[in-house]
Amino acid sequence: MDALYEIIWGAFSPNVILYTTFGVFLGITVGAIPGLSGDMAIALLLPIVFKLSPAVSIGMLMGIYKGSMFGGSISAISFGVPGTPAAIATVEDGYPAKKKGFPRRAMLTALYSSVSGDFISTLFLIFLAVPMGRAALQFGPAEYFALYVFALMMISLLVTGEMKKGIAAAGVGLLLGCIGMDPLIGSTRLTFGISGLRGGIPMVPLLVGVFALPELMMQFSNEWKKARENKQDDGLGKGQDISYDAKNDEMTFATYRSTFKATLLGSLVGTFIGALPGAGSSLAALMSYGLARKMSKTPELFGTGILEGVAAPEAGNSATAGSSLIPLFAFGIPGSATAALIGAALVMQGINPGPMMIEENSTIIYTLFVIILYATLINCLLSYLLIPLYAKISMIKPRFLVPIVFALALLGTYASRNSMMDVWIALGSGLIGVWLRKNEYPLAPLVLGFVVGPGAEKSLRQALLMGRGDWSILFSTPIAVGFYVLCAVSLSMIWFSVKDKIVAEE
Amino acid sequence: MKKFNSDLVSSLVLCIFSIGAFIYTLTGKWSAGAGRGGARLFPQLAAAVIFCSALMVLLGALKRKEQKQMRFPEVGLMSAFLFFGMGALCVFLSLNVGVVVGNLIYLVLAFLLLSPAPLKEFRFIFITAGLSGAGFWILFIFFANMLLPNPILF
Repeated sequence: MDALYEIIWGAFSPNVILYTTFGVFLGITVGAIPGLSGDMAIALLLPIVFKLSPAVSIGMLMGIYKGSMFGGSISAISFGVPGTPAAIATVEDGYPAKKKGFPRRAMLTALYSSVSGDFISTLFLIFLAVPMGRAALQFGPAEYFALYVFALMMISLLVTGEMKKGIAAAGVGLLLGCIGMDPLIGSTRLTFGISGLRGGIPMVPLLVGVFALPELMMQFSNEWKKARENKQDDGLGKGQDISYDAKNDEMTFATYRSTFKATLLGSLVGTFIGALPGAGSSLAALMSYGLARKMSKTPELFGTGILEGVAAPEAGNSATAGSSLIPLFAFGIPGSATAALIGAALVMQGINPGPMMIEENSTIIYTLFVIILYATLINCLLSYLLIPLYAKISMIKPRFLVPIVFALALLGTYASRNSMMDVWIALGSGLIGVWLRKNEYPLAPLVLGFVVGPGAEKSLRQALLMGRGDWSILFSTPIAVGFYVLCAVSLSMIWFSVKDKIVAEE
Repeated sequence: MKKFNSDLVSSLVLCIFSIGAFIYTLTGKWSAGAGRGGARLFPQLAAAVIFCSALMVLLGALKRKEQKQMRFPEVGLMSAFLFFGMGALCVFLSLNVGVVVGNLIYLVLAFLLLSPAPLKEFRFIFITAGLSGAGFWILFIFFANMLLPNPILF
C-alpha cells in the first residue's frame, strides 16, 4: 500500500506533470520542423538530467519522444515534408489529403491513431516487457536479414508506380548506406577520400534532402513560374485559401471509425517492430502503411489522400515509442536511438537498464510506467489544442511558406551536428531526389534501403561467418524461411494482379 | 525542344552508375576483412540490384511505343539553379552575417523573387521576413544552441 502511494505521489506531483507537458510541447514543435527531431532535443537536454529527479527528467524526455512522433506528421501533412524520419509514410496520403482540402481531418486522424498506437504499445511495455524481450532475442542474424529483405521487398512492391523502379530505388538506398565505415570491421569505404564521409552519410541530411527539398523545389518552381507570368493571387498571402471549407473538414466519429482497422494494424506492427533492436520507427511506419494498403478494401485509393493511409503509419511509428523500451528495460539493449538516449538518462540517474532493473528499482520504474501512460494523454490534449494553429499555417500561400521551410530545413540540418558537410549532403541528396521524382522513381524504398542497409549487411555477414561462408545458413531457420516465403507469395500475388491488368488492357 | 524517353535515359544512367559502383568495389582501396566477400560484398549486391532492376526498366522502355516524358516540366535547370543557389545563400548568410539579419536578407530576396507584385507587397514581405528571422534565432540559437563560426552581426 505504501509503495502504491509512493508511485501515485511520485507520478502525479505538479513538477512531474509540468516538465512532462513541457516535454510534449517541445517534442511537437521540434517534430514538426524538418531537420529537427525528438532525438536532437533529447540529446540537447541530457546535461540537465543531472539536476532533475528521475521521474521529472524521464517524464520530460518521454514527453519529447511522444510529442515528436506526432509532430513529424504535422509537417508531413501540411507541407508534404516529413518532420521526422518516422513520418515518411504519412506524407504519402497525408499531404494529398491536405491538398484535397482536409488538413484538419488528416491531422486529427494522425493524432488519434498516433495516440492509440502509443497507448497500446505502452500497455505492452508494462505487461509484456520481459516475455517480449525474450522473444525478440530469439532472432539471430539469419532471421534479421530475412526480415530486412522482406521489408525492402514489400515497400518496393507496394509503392505507387512501377515495381522495378521501387527495387532500383531501394538498391540506391542500400548503396548509400554502405558509404562510410563497414559495420563489422570498421574499414572505411566508398568515401572517395572525403573525410567527412568516414562516419557514413548521416540520416537527417539525407532525409531532408531526399524528401523535403524535391517537394519544396516543385513548389518553388511552380510559384516562380506564376510570378514570371505575373499571375496575381488574392489576399496578399494573408491566409485562408478561398477554396478551403472548414465545415467540410470536420472530424466525425464515423470518419474515425473507418480508420480503426488501419490504426489497430499499425499499432500491432509498430509494437512488434519497435521491440526488435535496431528496426526503428521508420521501418514500422512503412511496413504498417504497406500492410494496411494490402489489407484494405480500397488499396487503389492509397496515395490519393485516404485517411487509412495516414492512420496506419502514424499508429505504427508511435507504437514503437513504448515497445522500443522493452528490450532496454528487460535486457539493457535499446530498441532505437531514442531508447539509447533514454537509457543514458537512466544511467545518469543511477538506474542501470537490464534484467535486474525492475527488481532493484521497482518503485521508480512503476512510477515511470504511470508517467509514460499519462504523457500519452497530455500529448493528445496538447496536440488537439495546437492543431488549429498548425492547420491554419498549412493554408498560408506556398510562396511565403517555401522559403521559410527551406531555411528551417537547412538550418535544422546544420544545427543537428554543427556541420557544413551535412548541408552539402542535404543539397546533394536534394538534387538526386528531384531527378528521381521527375523520372517517377519512388523515394520511400530509397530511404528504407538506406535505413536498414547497415543492419542488413551486418546480419548477412554475421550469418555467413557463422555458416563459414555457406549461403544456405540464410535459409536454415523456420522464421527466416517464413519471411522469404512471404516475399515470394507477395511478389507472385502482385505480379499476377498486374499481369491480369496488362492482359485486360491489351 | 527535342523529346526523349525519360525511362530510357534514367535507366541507362542507373545501369552505368551501378556498373561504375561495382567496378569501384573491386578496385577501391579498403580492407575487405574476413568472411565471404568481406566489406565489398554488400556494396556489390546493392550495385547488382540496381543494375538488374534498371535493366528491366530499360527493356520495358524499349518495348513501349510511346515516348514517356519527365514529370514536373516546370522544374528545369534555371529553377534548380535558383532554388539551390538560394539555399546556399541562406546558409552562407546565416553563418557569416548572423541568423536574424542573414535570414532577413535571404527571405526578402526569396519572397521578392516569388512575388507576382513585389513592390505592392514589399512592406508585408519585410515584416514577415523580420519576424521569421527572429523566430529562427529563438529556435536555433536560444533553444538549440547552434554554434556559429563568428558571424558579423546577430
